[in-house]
Amino acid sequence: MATYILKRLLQTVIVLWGVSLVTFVLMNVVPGDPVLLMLEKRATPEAVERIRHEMGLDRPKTTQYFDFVSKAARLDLGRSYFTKEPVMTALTRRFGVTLRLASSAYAIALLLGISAGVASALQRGGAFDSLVRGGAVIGISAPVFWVAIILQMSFGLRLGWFPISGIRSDWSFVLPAIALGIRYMASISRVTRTSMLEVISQDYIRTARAKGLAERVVILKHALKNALIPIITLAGSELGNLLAGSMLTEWVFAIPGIGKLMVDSILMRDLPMLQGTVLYIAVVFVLSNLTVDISYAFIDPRIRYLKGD
Amino acid sequence: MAETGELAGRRESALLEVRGLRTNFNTKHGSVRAVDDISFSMARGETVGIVGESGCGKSVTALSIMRLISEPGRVEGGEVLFGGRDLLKLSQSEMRKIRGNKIAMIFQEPMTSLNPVLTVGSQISEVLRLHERLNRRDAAARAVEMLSVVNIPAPEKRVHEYPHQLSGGMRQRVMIAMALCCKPDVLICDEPTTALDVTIQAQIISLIEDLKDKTGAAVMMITHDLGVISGISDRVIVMYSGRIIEEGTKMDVLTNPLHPYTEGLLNAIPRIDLDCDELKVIPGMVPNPAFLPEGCHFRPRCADARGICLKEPQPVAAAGNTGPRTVRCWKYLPDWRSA
Repeated sequence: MATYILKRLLQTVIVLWGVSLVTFVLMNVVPGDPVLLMLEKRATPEAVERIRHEMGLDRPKTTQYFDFVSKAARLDLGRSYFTKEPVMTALTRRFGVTLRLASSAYAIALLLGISAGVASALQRGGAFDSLVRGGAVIGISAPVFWVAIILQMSFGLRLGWFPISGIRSDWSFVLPAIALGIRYMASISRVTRTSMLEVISQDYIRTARAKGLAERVVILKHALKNALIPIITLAGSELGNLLAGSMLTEWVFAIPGIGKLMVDSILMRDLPMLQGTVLYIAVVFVLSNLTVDISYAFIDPRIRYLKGD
Repeated sequence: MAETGELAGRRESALLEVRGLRTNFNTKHGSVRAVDDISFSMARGETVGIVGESGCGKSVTALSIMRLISEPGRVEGGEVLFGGRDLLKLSQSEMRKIRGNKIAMIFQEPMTSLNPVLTVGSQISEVLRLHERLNRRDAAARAVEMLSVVNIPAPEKRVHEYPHQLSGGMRQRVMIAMALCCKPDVLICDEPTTALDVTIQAQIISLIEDLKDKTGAAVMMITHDLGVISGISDRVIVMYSGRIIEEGTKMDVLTNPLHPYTEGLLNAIPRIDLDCDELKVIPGMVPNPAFLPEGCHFRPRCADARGICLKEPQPVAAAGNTGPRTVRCWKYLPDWRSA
């Protein structure tokens, strides 16, 4: 087990190094000189040279890269061109907001998605099953900004139950969390249903019933634990998506999270900030995949012994 | 159903009695009768072998007794009398108290019949905690004990292992431990050795035999392997496409088969002591349960078939050398000579 985790951690470090390289290269090939962007056209060529020198942009690219990596390793990602705020500080502040939004959406998606999937598998072909399957198709296909606007119009404007933009209270998170969670809920319910259907036809489920166990125990203990493996894969990759990809939701609901920060940085060509958010997203993805892999090993003993000790 | 006085007498002392059991499966070809009017009984401490080809309804009979038939299957009629009660009429919760406790079952596939994500110890102690109301620690201790009863070496270590860490034979031993831990009155073994190596087969069979003698359980041994039957059974029931076609003591059935199908089965066993060039087979195939032939189901493959076989034969008592026996064939009915 320990060997397995150690191995995965080592792989993670390699992936992160690759990500830093790609990020750096991308930032250097995007059109537009950051110094010119900062100073605009009024600056004299001398001033531009001076600033370029101050920012270390006149050094060789390799030196700049190693400087970037060594600073990034110490969690120093530079400062915003415009607000002069350290990128790391902005990311940390925004991360709290994104985390709240993502975890609410995640909780909704997991709780409702798994229970709907299990119930629908158990009543295969019934009315509830059709409802869940139909709902899942809509949930997966509906674009998040559309869902967001529909929610704002119906529950925000017409019924006036929840605020529709900004974050003034906990209630502000309700509509964004639903908008963000709904498609994950849909895909989780589908995967749960499929996985459950496969598991409940297995021989060991018949064995569990032959032992005289109550149906509740058969489903929740014997079936669900086996059915969880594909659900965790999906849920894990979606955790990454939720923490990184709530750009649209945050933008529509004007929630000052990482996603909105990224969109703002793109619009303003705030390269250090953009670089920071890209790096953040990569790290979130890598770490959530790592968490998923490790949790597999806890749930499925076969993986633990196969890859581990 | 024709019964001799002797048969009826034995039925009264029966531990488990199945009467007129019928199980259907709803398919796109309509309702298919997998088990058709099956009646038999088992006495305490007796081993009854149920033999027949794949798809003849052996396993469905066992699952119907346990009420573990799932959709699209359905037990349509009959009675399963156990301890004075008809199991088919019990509520689900009453039935659950019987499953794994009074009547336990061992399945064919030890590789897939154990839950891969739970340790073997927890799968055994689960039964004990459920039926014997043991606490976690006592149940765990009993699980270790049960593993040593089924001759698994280093049981205190094995108890913490997962099914994938055990060999097929070991897993079947775990299944047996699980089935026997509440000392059931009836143990149903559904082809327990089919998926195992021949050497392991013999070990498992003698283990079941041994534990049966110790616990006094009645054993229903379902198999298509006549070798297993000859090793373990007291009585043999031969099934063909959902019906019992012959029943009698092991000696009678194996040495003097009455039904042409049983005879064919026994002839099909290759023998090392006889010189023959070709293996004997029963011509034709087992009929598709959705399209059963009229009358006797074996008629299209039977060398002795006559016009009367288009009508359904009823079971008839026949003379056995070592005990009562019945056969379901027109040859043993008075109408045969005139047909």
